[in-house]
Amino acid sequence: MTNFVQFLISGIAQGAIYALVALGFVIIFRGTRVLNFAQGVFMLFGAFLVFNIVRTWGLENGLKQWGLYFWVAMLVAIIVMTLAGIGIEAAVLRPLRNRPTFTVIMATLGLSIAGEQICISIWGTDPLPLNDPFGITTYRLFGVNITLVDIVTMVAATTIATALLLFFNRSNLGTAMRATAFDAEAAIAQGINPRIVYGLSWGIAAGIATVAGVMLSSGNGRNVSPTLIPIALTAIPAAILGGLDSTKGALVGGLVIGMTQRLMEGYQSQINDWLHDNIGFTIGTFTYKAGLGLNFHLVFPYLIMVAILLFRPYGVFGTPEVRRV
Amino acid sequence: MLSGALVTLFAVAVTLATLVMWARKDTKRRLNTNYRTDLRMFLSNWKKLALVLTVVLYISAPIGFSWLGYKGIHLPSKLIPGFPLSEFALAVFNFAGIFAIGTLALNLLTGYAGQVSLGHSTFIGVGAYAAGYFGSTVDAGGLGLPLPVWLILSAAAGAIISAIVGPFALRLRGDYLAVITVGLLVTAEHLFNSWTDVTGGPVGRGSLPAPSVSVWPGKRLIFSGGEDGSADFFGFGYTRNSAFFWLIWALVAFAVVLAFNLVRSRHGRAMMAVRDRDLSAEAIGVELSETKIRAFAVCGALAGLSGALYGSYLQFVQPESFGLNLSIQYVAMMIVGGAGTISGSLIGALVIGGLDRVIDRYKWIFSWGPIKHLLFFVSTEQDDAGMKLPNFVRTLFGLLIVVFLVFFPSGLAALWDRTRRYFTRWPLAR
Repeated sequence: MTNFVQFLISGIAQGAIYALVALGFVIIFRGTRVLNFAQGVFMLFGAFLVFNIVRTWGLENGLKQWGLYFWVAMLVAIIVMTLAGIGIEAAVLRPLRNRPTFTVIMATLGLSIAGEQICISIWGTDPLPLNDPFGITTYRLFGVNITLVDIVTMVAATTIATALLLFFNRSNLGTAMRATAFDAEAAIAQGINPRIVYGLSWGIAAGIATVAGVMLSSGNGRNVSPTLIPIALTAIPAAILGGLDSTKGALVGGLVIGMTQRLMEGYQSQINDWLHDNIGFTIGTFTYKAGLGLNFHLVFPYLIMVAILLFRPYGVFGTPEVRRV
Repeated sequence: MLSGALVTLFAVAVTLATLVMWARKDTKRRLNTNYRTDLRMFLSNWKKLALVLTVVLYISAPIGFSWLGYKGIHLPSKLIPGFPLSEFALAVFNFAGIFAIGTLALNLLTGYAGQVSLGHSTFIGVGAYAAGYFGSTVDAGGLGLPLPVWLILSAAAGAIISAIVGPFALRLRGDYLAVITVGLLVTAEHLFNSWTDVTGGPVGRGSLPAPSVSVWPGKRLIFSGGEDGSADFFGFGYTRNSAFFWLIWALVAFAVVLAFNLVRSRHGRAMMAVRDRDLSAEAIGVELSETKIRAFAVCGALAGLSGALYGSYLQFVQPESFGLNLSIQYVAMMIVGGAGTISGSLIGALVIGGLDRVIDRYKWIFSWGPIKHLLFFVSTEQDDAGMKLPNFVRTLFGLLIVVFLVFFPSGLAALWDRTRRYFTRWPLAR
């Protein structure tokens, strides 16, 4: 039972990161109807930027106490990445407006490949330590271990999600963004400049991706390396599960995917043994025994996604698209 | 000797002149006024002429032109500079041919039927593993079937797998379809890793169909060979690369004819209707699900064929080769060549397919003055700082995709088409 709760807690922390990445997907999709496969590269660039800033100023200067240097570096990285997101939208995505979905997806994939290779060329493929202030600090609550970085991640995810909800629902700009997402032409008729909305969507998403990237690569035994990109891909099932245009869906999807993945990781050897012992057949010399295979937990989110999409093609909280001839 | 050469030249000149006169006969007839001319396979006699020349080049590429000689007329083997092709050039063309079949498959599915697929490398992988299982010898854990059989079985395996995948696409469009194909790709990679009996697991599967391409075990008909795969063909020595060149490009021709006929047929038009507007297509009586699944099956069959050739040419496959990266490379080839055109698949595969090998071979160009200054960040040596060559090539792929999508959305094939139309219909076309 303790094991179960332990898996669940670390699953929630993992899910918080997925939720953050998924929020990035959702914000861009809501605002511009683009599924941004380059989100993983935003994460990677953000985390590497933090690494660089920390290395250049943090360790020698007085910012060291309270781990202040880390937060300053993160703030700078978020601002830089937000500007980069706005720039990429203006340079690449704006000329592709009103092109077929496929074209735009491929453009973001192209960006993703080029960005990944540029990252590898600058920082290499070796894992780099981020020098974060969390270290291996672990708290023990009701017989369950929680690391400090998990707590920070959960707090960050909650804060960002709340801030975004407030922004979308209360501020003028947020309302403008929702209006553009709902009906771009009507929004233009009301005097909203869609370019600002599109640019801002990409900027916010890139900023959030930076937070997710840093959270994912700080803490006990975690480093920055290009392996962050497959993790960003795992957040796509989370975004899809909740519905690509639902902020609430991203949070729920992220948590569900994170928890199920962690539980599967914890119990997969037992499930595998059970399957191996109980399911199988023999025909002549050919014997078949069921099993999950290595690292099944990495595939599990995608299977959940496929299953969900078969029954609800627009996710759990997504709005179905109405089409007319 | 001299008179022989003169006679040869004269014969070639007369043949060419006759062919050109014949080809010019119907170039004026550009406007199609009935279905028969509209559905013609060859739009002009020029194309037939080009076909003849292509066949000649196809046979001569590995062995030179001397086979054309007849009774005392000797054609020099090196009639065109660069012929016979070097082993390196043959390898580049072989990869380009393998990629051309796969790109054609993707183009039928995405360019013609409009079904976004990022899971293309799965079908390629299924073909490669099927070839490994059916084709490699019994000692190596395969079934040891002959070449035509394992080629057909690999194509069938690809078709079956993709017909299973197809129904997933029935309710989904656009972004969601792209994502579910990524999901299927990841799942397939997991299966490739786990099903060790057939795939060899994460370490991969070696010794795919024997190094010599024997048409039938024991019966060395055309393709046969020794240890290094070299052999001879009516007195002309050729190597494993040459054998594969003939095999691969014959299959490319087969795939092109198949795709061309499919596209001109009722099913092809149904596919394009689904791509352009699926609701309208359904309204005029196109069976949506049937058309989509058919497109997936054809794509899977050709991809399986391409994968089988890929596996048997490399003689080694591992699950890692069939990840998202290969899919993206195929998409890059399709986009650079031109989505929705058959010639585009070939052009894209020729341009991108061999690019990494050509760049790696001619890397001295990066130390040549102007280019060195322009691409100062690229380093050709493993230990130097800066961008390594493979990384540079991958970056180039990514940027090419973006640049082509933004500036030339219909690819190189359309660029060529537009140029040609400018000249052939001069005052009328822009």
